[in-house]
Amino acid sequence: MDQTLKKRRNQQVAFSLVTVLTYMIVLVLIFILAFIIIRGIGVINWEFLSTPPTDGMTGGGILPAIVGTCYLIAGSSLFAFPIGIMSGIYMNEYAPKGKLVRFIRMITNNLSGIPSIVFGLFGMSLFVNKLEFGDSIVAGSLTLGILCLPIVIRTTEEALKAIPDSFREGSYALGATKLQTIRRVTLPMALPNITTGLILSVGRVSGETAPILFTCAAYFLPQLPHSVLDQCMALPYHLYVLTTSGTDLELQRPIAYGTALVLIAIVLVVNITATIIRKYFANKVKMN
Amino acid sequence: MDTNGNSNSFFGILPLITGTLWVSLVAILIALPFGVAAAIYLAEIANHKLRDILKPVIELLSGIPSVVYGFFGLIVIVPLVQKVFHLSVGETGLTGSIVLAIMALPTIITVSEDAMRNCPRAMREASLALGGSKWQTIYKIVIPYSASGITSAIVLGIGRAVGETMAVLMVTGNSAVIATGILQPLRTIPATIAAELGEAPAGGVHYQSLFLLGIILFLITQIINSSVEYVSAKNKM
Repeated sequence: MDQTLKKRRNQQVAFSLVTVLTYMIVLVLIFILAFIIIRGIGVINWEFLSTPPTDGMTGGGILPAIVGTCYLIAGSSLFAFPIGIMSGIYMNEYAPKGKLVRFIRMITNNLSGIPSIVFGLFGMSLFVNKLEFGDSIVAGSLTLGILCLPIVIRTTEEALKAIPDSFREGSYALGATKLQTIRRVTLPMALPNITTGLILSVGRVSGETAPILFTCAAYFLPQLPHSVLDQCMALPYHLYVLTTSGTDLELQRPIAYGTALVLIAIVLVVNITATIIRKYFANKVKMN
Repeated sequence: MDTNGNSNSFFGILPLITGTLWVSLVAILIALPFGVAAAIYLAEIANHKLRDILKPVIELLSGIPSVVYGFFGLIVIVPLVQKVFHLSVGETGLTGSIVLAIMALPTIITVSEDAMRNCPRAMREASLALGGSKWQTIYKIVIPYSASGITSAIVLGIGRAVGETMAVLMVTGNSAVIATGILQPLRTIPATIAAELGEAPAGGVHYQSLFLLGIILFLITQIINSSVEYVSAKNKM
């Protein structure tokens, strides 16, 4: 009886320890979010979001940084989405299972493990210097595009893999070609999961700083970029600049909180949307 | 590393390698108990509903941009470390490690939890049938069974920490000396590239050394990722 009691006490101690450690992580997350939201919310207003910085970045808003980040998201998506989705389709639907696919998958996995600063070096030497795009939106978008390719490829592949073969066979049995099957049956079914991946990759792109440091990001630009060969400001780089350099760190602080809040808001929206789409789709599949 | 760019300047990587290792290893030491605890909680203790809430919350941690972590570290953790350890500056290796530990948590939790979930039901039931408590089953069956998965999680976490640039750049103080302790300002490989590339004239020795740093960083992360992939491929067979 004594032994059972000891066993039960040990379990209670261990379980409460594990539970406490887990909820400490959740508390850290809540603390980070609350800290930035509470300090940043007072700065956010329409003027902050719609005017460029003034007085050596100690006043005004962050419009050029928001616009720049939007351009970078659009540019990298334009590059990575078609290539990534097509690679995913190729790997799951067309490529014969075997060494080649395993090799490509290994390469994509390794690509996703490369530190973002290495992407920055690569983008700088290839797009900025070799291809002579200079520090520009194109160079930054292409660098960010390569960075998020693995996410797009992998989610597309996983989404397609989750669709049972019986659907494909049903389509073939009705006389459809492979391309028709992919277009009308497989892709539409996989679309919610692929969309989740695309949204997450947008989230990743909007927060990356290191890859655009030497390929695109401008310290300060009073006007919006006119062409894709112009430099642009970007939210994460702007936050970095506001915290580490500038004319007056103390006066810049509120603006930094505001910028951080905008970044956090993007992340929250992206993650919540992705979770909702995934949930909704999971329920729908269960019903079928 | 010398940054004045004259031909006599001297370049060495030792301080950067020791800096990177210090910061990453301490980060993993901090993150490990929390990460494994959370993995156990999610895989073994939490019910389905709770898990459905906690998983996205933990994924959210990996979605927060690294500059935001750097910003948070600079404003909250730097003064905290300075106060607790009575230092003249709070920008130390330890500050970087704490920030990196938070950033590496999602990786460690997800990978270890997956490994624990793969432990066959029959093994758990056998242990419970022999009179083992739930906790005894966890630490005598589930954890040893998923040991290689947890190791992968640790190694991947180190890989994540080694390559992290912005957050580390903002909070470790960036002093390129050979670190003898974690409570000193130090500098990592990625932070050095980010801090110095902008001022290195293209094509010069300094510029090329920074690219060499990039190659070394690339190789380190490749070795880490390939070894994890090799181990997990072997386990599957």
